[in-house]
Amino acid sequence: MSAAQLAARGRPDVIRRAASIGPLYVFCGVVCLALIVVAVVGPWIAPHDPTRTDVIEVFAGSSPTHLLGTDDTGRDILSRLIVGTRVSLAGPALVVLLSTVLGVAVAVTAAWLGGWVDAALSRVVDILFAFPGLILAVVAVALFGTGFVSPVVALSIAYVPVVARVLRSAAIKERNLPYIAALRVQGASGWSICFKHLVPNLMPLVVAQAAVSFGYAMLDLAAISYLGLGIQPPSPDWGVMVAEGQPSIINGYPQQSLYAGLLVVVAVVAFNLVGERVAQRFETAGAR
Amino acid sequence: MLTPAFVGRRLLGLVVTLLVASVVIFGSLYLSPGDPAALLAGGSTPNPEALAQIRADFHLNDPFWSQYWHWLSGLLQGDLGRSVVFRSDVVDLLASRVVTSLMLVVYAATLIIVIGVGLGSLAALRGGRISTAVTVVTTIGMAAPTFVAAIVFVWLFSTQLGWFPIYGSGSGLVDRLWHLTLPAVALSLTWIAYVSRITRSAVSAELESEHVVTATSRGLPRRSIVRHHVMRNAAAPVLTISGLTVAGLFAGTAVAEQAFGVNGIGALLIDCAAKQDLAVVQVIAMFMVAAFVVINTVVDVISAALDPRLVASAVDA
Amino acid sequence: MTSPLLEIDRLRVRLPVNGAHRTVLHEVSLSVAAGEAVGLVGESGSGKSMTARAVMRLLPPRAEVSGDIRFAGASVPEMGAADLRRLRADDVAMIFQDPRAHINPVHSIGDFLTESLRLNGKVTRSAATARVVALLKEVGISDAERRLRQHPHELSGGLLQRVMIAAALVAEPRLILADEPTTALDVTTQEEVMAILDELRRDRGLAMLFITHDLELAAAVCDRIGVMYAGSIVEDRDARELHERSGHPYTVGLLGARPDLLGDRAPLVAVPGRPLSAYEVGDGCAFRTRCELAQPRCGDDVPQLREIAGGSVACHFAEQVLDSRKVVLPHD
Repeated sequence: MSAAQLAARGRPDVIRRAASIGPLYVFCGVVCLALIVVAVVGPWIAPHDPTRTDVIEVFAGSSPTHLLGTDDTGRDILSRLIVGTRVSLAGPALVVLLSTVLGVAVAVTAAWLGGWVDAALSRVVDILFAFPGLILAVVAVALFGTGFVSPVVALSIAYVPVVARVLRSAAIKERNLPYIAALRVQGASGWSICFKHLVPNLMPLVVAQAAVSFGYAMLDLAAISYLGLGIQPPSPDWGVMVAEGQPSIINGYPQQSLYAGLLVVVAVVAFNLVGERVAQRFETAGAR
Repeated sequence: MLTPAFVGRRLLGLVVTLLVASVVIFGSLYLSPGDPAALLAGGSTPNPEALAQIRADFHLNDPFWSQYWHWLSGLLQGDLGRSVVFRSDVVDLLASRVVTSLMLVVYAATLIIVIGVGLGSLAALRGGRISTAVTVVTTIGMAAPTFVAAIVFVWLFSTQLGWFPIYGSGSGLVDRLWHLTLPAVALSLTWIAYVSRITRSAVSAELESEHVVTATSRGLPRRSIVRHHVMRNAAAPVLTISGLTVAGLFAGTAVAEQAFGVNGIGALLIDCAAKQDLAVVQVIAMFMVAAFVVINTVVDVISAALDPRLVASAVDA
Repeated sequence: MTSPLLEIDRLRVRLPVNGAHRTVLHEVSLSVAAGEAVGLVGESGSGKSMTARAVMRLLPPRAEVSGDIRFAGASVPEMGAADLRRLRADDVAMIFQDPRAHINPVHSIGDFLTESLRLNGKVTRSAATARVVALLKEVGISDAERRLRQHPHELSGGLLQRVMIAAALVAEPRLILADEPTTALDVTTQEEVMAILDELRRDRGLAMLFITHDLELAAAVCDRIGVMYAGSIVEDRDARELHERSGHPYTVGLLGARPDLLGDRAPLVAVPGRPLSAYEVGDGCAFRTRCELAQPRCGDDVPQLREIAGGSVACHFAEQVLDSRKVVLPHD
């Protein structure tokens, strides 16, 4: 046995599995996990109070006390990014959760009942497709005011057609399988078949769809925050920070906008890549 | 072959979608728990006389369908209503801004189609190092959302390079285009990357297709194989995706205009949403949805003209 | 004897599969004289289609090819771009198995048929159309003018394959490569299409390399048969002598494997075992894993094609096979 083989044997299982996934995905996975941890414990690990201003230390550069410097009112940028993680991840998570629940409900209802219900729901989904997420969010904000809730609910609705379309055709295929007919003959009710068999069997596809949506939801919500329609300052949020820092760029202080923007990009790319990888796994699992 | 029945069905679908969308957008006024008149006043609490005036102006005392009909027929005749917040007719608010936003969309769409399709085709037809280079460029592009690209551009060009104006809309055609360059690039980056990836895979698939083997076996010149069998066949899927992308650009103008202080309908939409000026938001939202649906329908019809199988499958369905 | 029209000389082809190269043709030698029809018969994966594609230089870009292919004396692998195009455009035409995949779906039938005339022959569209209409009538398509305006998805598989045959004949080639031209069609259409192809070929005196898995069909329409197994030709013989004088156990097996549609009630004897792919062949005879006559010698020593009873056979025991057909063919 060669040294390399011995070394491979001695390696813990986690590392061996990681090697088979590829370094890029492992890195992205680590980034995602780190962000989730920061989202949970952020307020306790932030080095400074993210809302405390300091008129003397405005636009401070990187230093041991302020690793990423301070903004135009002397607030610590790193602390604001750390504390803002929670809201920046919670928004997309809620959008994915809500749109998935609604999408599954629409898809399974349409597939199970068929006929005019299916036709009507499909038509609604088609029309909903014509509303870009941002437009729905803007209308929601115009109606209910800015804040966390309006954009999240509007985006959730905007994401329903995508989820519903994919799952409807899968649900129809599943419904036509012989085991469903067998269950019906045995006298199982529609509800119990849907909840105990149809939905669980669609789960791999549901998870795949959700994993892919997360990154996009994050991007859309960050853009809405940037536009000033989401969370309002002084609450720290990445999109808000990009917008708040923008006027200072011309004065030669780009750090706040750039760091926040970079964080958005890194987070979106990491979640997207991991999401697509997860989707691949679950789609092949579902295909089996 | 494009049949009148096919085009007719698509047009009918277009009208139905627009009608339903308009009911939804207009009806959103009644989704909110508060008084519609107060809502149209921009969320502020004006005095009772002002509210009565708004009720009269917007026919709020009429039944819903009568109000809706009044609003829709007004839209179709160019009477877009009145903004209580801006104390101005919506037509006047939109007039100059629509042109700016249209220019921005056309500019960005041109960049997306020319560069996206160009890079994608180049990567597929040449392969090797060019293909790798395109992969790298598109990976970066895919990860550049408009607002992040915007702040990077503002930083680069305001403090570092200074080649392009950072804010404003400019005057005169050339100056306006000059001002719109950075917003258009920021708006199009992601979509250039997306369209070039779709183009690359569509062109690669055609290059490897069996009918191209047939064309090669007949000794046709490579140039005409590429033109008539590879690019021609890849055109329908590429056009569909490009069209979907361009149709979505109107909504994207909101971010690009806001980021670069361009005075277009996107920035106005955001401004009005923040001020809860529902009368203007409804009109702009309707306009953007209509643009999205119309462009998609046009693209559908052109794709069907390019690929006769699409008509056949649509008729069968 | 004059030199043949097509001469394949110790052709060896390796294709890239997941980074490594795999052998798909070991050593194929075959010739087709002017006006002669040669059948290339074998199970799927035996390399018969690869052989035809190699003749047209239609192999994947990173294929490794050695040996030589000569058309009318000129080496195909050494041809420059212009000569290669002339070969494809004027001299050799190919008919593919699946016309639906092999005819561009977005162009009309008329565009497809006239394309090579317009681009290669510099014929005007109207002259090209006139020629094509006449050809379509010859392949049994009566309402030719209407068909020209239709698109491939509007035609049945049988009609499309006739269109493909017309497309192959339109350039008046000297050699036709027909790659399982009837396999994708339903049984009744198969016979019609095959009859049309056979008749038009004979009328024009064209040479043909006919690729099929159906030995009886090949024997019916061809002058000579080459039997392929796992990337090599194992027997090469006059089609009329095949039944009486085949000398390779595999050929004998194939003759028995064909269901007899004439109601002869002969038992269906398939060749037992799984066909090997060319890359799986190690030392020795590729067929030995399925051969009833296999001896230890077959595992070490690759049998070469040698002249036996008017044909060539690659088997150490060809003489015994010839003598004792009864052992292998139960209904004989």
